[in-house]
Amino acid sequence: MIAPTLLALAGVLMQDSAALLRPDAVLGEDGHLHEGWQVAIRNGVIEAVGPDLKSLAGGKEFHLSGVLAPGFVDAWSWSGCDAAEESLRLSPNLLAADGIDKDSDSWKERLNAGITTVQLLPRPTNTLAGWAAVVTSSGPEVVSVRSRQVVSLLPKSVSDDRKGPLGLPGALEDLSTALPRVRGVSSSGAIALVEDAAGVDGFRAAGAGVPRAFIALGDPGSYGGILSGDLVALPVLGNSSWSPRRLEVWRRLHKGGARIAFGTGSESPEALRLAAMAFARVTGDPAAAFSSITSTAGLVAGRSDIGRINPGARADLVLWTAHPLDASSRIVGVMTGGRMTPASSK
Amino acid sequence: MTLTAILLFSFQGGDLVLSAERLHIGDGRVMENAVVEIAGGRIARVSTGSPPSEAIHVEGAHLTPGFVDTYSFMGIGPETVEEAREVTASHRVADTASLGDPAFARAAIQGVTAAYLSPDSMNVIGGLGAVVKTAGGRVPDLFAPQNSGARVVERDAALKITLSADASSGNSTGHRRSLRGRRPTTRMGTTWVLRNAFHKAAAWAATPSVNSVFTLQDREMAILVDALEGRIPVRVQARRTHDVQTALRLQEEFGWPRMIVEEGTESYLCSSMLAGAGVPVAAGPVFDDISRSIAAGPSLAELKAMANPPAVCCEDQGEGHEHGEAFIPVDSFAFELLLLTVPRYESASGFLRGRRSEARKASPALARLLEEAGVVHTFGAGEGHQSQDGEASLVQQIRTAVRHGLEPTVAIRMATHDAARLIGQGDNFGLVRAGYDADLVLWSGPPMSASSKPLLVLIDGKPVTDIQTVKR
Repeated sequence: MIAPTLLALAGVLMQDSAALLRPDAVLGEDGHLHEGWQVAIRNGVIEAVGPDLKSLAGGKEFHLSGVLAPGFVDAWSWSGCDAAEESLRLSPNLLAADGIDKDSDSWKERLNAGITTVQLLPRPTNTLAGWAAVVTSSGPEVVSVRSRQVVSLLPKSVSDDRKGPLGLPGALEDLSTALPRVRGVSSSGAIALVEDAAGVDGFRAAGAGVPRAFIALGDPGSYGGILSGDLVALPVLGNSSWSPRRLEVWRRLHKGGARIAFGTGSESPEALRLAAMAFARVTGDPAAAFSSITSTAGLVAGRSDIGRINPGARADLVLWTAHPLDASSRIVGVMTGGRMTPASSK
Repeated sequence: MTLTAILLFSFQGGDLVLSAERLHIGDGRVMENAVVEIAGGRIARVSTGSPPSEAIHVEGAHLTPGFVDTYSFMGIGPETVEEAREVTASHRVADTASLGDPAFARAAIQGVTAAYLSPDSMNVIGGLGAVVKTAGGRVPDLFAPQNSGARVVERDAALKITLSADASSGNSTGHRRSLRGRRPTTRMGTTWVLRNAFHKAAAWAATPSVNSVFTLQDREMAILVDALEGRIPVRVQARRTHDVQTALRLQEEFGWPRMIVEEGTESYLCSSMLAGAGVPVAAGPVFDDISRSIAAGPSLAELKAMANPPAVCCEDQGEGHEHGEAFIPVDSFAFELLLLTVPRYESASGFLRGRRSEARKASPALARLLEEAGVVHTFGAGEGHQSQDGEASLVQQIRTAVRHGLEPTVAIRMATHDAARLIGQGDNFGLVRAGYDADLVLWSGPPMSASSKPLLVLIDGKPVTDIQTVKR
């Protein structure tokens, strides 16, 4: 019965109309399943969520079999984007949105993995690498052209013996002088790729007053003690990067108060959900685990309207057969901006 | 009271009373049957008498101030230096050093409670060094024990200048498209870059700025002016004799009020000039892993005697003054011959020709020679605590100097009060005196004895983590 229902839903919502969705359960922001809740959508935005909602004027009502959850948000990825300018020492005006490869297979793969939104980054070859973009997996459509200014404090990536810098001190010097001058950074914020404590401190000092998030690379276990309270995006576990220490680092970061999100970088989109499942296992906190690939990941991208089922949020939703972090759960359908996606509705 | 009880008690934040049969105050004096009371992280009272009942008293133990490493690279890796240009005066080593590096914990449990972190030597003007306590700071490492991170005491402790070959290494006129295709490529070029920078700074200071924006260049110039006017010391890294001489000439030329020679491997060869100018030496390590070297040396006494020339010095220059070989002491040929005939001192023994093998006349008697010449000398371990296999730790360096004729009480004074004064902390630590930081080491026996070990190390009145925990 599911497929005909979804097809009907797709047909209606493609017209940007209003609808009331009645799934078996809604996965709320508290990480709990709420049976009997409904979600009202109008023009691609969630208008209301909760029990006993009435149908919207001019809208239709759909009964869905499964768990309705916010679409996953990939906090940072390079797949499907070719943005880097190595001829410059600093490239703060580069836009990842300009480097999107719409023909990449990564978009379909993301939809199949339940990822509805991704923050695309320019390659971190310059200390100021350019603007990240928030993009929907369907389309793809750009939601934010300038989500975060990308700061690279990875010495090996930014070192260049023709134009400099040649190390972290030079990168920090560039950062302290150039970041405050980047137009728009005080409102949009910046996201820094770091791999040591000096990078964390340097970014904090240079970006005082700027909304910030970190992408913690290298071994966060060696410097994660100073990330308490920060938004921290971690790389997912790749095929060769599983280790007990990494999982223990996640647990200690979470325990220490860091707000954790995950990004796939160049890994498979499937790895995002697996990371959250592993995170739930080691922390014993499924709500934090689910938010690590939804609402917290949205905050890493500077967006509070993605990765959650709340009034005012984008209607980027995924219907699952069970809780999305249940290993046996599978995707029934994916909706982005209130529209069923072709990949998932077939 | 057992040591375990001591640690538990102190971790709970209680004040301490220590009693020692011999207290090395730090200024060269020794007090018998001393009682040291600690409150609020500082030394509250020092007295003599029988130990009170609540005192920690270990039979035969000696108490000293914590040792101070005045030339250290703890937590400083190659990524902490910016080589894109030769003058990086505004770079702070405190900004890029890894203060959670296990080297600090290794140093702390060996009785080193404070250190001067020197910027690396790859630039002519490398930036600002920092003073740290080796424990008590935040711990960025999620797996490290509490309080095992270094704590910065002074961020802008001194300006680093390099006269050794390090500054010109890597540069070449052949690298036309690279930042490396630049001056200096020789020692002469190094000095030129240095002069150029300080002349510019002097001109900058003399010219009122018309620009309201304080640029990066302004920041660098301001730091150089601070050095010119003595607000911060200038630490000149010089290993070979003629580099030390160059440093003295530059001091005379620019009038640096506060100059310190760093490493100074061959500085004993011009000790009278240093003494005359009142320039101290923050020595670098002169020996590698001591456990593989000195004890195994078959003719150490002979080496000591030969490496210990009379203060033949710079004023003895004249004929035979060739590039890099000037001022050869009268018996240095015999000394070098000995090095050749005793290869174990060169390789397996760990004998160093100064860091990076540049200085050919390194002497394990450096400290004593400078002391005898009236030059202030302090000890530094360089990378000695970075790994178990590198340059010997600070305590090993000090004990080596004692084996080569330095009086133990003088060695302790050099490593504590003299060292603290050299890095600008003489009023804060380095002495066992009321009001000073309670940075103390309780040794199982005479501190300069090879068999003595630190039983308890206090930094700001708190014990560093126990040895078993620190060994990661």
